[in-house]
Amino acid sequence: MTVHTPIPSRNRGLPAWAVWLTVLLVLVGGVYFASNLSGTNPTVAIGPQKSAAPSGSGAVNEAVALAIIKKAACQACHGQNFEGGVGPDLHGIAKGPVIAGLKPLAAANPDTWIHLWISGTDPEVKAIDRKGMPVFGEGTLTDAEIDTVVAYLKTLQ
Amino acid sequence: MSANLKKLRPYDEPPKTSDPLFPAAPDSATTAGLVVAALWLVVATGLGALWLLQTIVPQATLQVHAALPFNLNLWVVLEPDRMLSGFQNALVYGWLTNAAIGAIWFITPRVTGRPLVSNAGANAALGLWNLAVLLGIASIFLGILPDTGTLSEFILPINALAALGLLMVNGIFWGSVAKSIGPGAYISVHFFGIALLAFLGLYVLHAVVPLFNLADPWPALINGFYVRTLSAYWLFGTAVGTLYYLVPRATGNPLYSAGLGLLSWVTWLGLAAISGLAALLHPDVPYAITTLGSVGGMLLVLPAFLVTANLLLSMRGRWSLLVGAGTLSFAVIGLAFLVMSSIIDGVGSLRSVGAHVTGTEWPVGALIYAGLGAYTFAFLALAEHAFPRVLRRAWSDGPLSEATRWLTFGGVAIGGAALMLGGLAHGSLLSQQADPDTINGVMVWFRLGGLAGVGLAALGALAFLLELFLMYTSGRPAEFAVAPPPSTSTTSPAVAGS
Repeated sequence: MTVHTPIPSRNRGLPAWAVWLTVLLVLVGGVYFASNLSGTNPTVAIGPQKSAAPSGSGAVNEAVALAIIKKAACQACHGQNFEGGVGPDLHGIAKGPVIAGLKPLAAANPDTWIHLWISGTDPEVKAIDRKGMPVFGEGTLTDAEIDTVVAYLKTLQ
Repeated sequence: MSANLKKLRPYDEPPKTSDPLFPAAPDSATTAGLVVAALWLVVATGLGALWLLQTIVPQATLQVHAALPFNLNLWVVLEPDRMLSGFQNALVYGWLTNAAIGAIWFITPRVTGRPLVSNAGANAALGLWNLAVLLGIASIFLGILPDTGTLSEFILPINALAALGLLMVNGIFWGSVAKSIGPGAYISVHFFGIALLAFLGLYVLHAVVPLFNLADPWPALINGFYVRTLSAYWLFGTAVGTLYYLVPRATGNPLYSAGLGLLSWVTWLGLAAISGLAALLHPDVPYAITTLGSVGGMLLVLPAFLVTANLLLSMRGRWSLLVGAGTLSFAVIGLAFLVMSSIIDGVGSLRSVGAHVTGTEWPVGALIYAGLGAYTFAFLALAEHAFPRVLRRAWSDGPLSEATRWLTFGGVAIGGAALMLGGLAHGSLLSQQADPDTINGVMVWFRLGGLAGVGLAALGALAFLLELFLMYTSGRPAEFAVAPPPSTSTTSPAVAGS
């Protein structure tokens, strides 16, 4: 059984110092607000370790590519910043694949191997062990979307 | 000769009774909330220490893949981003939220004079919430969540479970205080009521954001808004509501001023509402709106200071109670961290400082001061006060309580300071466009400091859990008589509670 024991107070009124302190701080806040009314916000998504964030080139539509990458949940395996996870690190992917099984594909298709690998619908690619990598070309991503993603991934250094 | 079935003899089996799935005894939900919270505290601090270890030793990561039948795959991904996310989620949703709900279940009946409308419901709500948090944190490490923000966006079924749990907590709280709420209710009830409504509303808002398929970076910006506002409303509100109850109880003094309590509540209510706007840093958001958010974040120091002053003035004549590991010493450390973390958050809300430290270790250091410092000590104070009363057992006389206090205090002070200073250094290096190797070379020292601090806090959490275990298994029985209200005080209807 819970015993009800009210907590009394010494006084009900408001101390003068508390009123003055409140007025003073609200004034300080008001001055800061008034002096920071005009400007343009930068785009900053709050989160730690911004040094690890990938840097995109101006020629690539980074925002669109990242939206497609998010839709395809690439970062679930390749890491939030493509540093690798279940899947390999994607930095430097423009120089060639890190998985040995993909090197023949890259040698035969130096410009399109990343697109072919992500899509996964080409008969030549189907013969390669995908090690859990989904086939994105079968309804998940369009060819244009894969091209956008590839252009972005090639900017990762 | 017929047996008397009502009178059991020594060789008789006692009649079998079935335990209800959710206990309905008074204070059973308080016990459940605080015990589960203690377990989460150990998990959270352990994950925090592992995260810092992984940032120092990159080889300490683990990725396991196992092929399961039916073409299913099991992935376990223990890498820094996910470890940090696990730490933050376990700290906020696991430890602090369970402790806050336990505090609400403990304090509300005592200040309103009316029992909870359903103790079984209160236990069920805790069960739903913890199931959701457990599944959510597991999904971070099983590679199911693509996004590992400060507080992760769990998948919809998990969010639905969590929201249902929060809805039940709200329903039981409001049902219990329905006849007591109003200007006459004690100030803790005011803080709890707003904090609960805000938590439910914010959680539902956060959960439905993915349904709108917003373009980047809006999901991340809204996550930032959610984290800031949740911290300001839910964590600050419940911790302060708890301290407003504990300090007068532990000292036996009346509250210094009901008016001051109400002023702290009103200022908190207004400023917490706008503080999250500072996170919406996007060219499409008017500059004045984000500035308003910065002002809200800065001025949150005002309610923190008013609460601290009110409670310190309430301790007059009882300073000797600060010596030793009692409720009051934990509460005072919590108040000190509350003021410090409010000042730190205020400084971090300044546009120039925010731009300098965003994306560095600063926010984690600030979270350690607020989450593991201010709010943790408030709830440790509650545990010191509440467990002997709900379990009817005394704390052991050993050094574990001292160990909890000093290890946690030292760990938070060292770890939080190291990460915040590291964040400032990191921001400077980034502005000088230093290369990653240089940054890592400098940052390793700050991360070592952070690891030492969070490691100490983890040991403090273990000491707390061990002390709780010893109390439950071998603590001597204790009864707590409740002292009558002081007859000399001028009882104010604003705090009479009924």
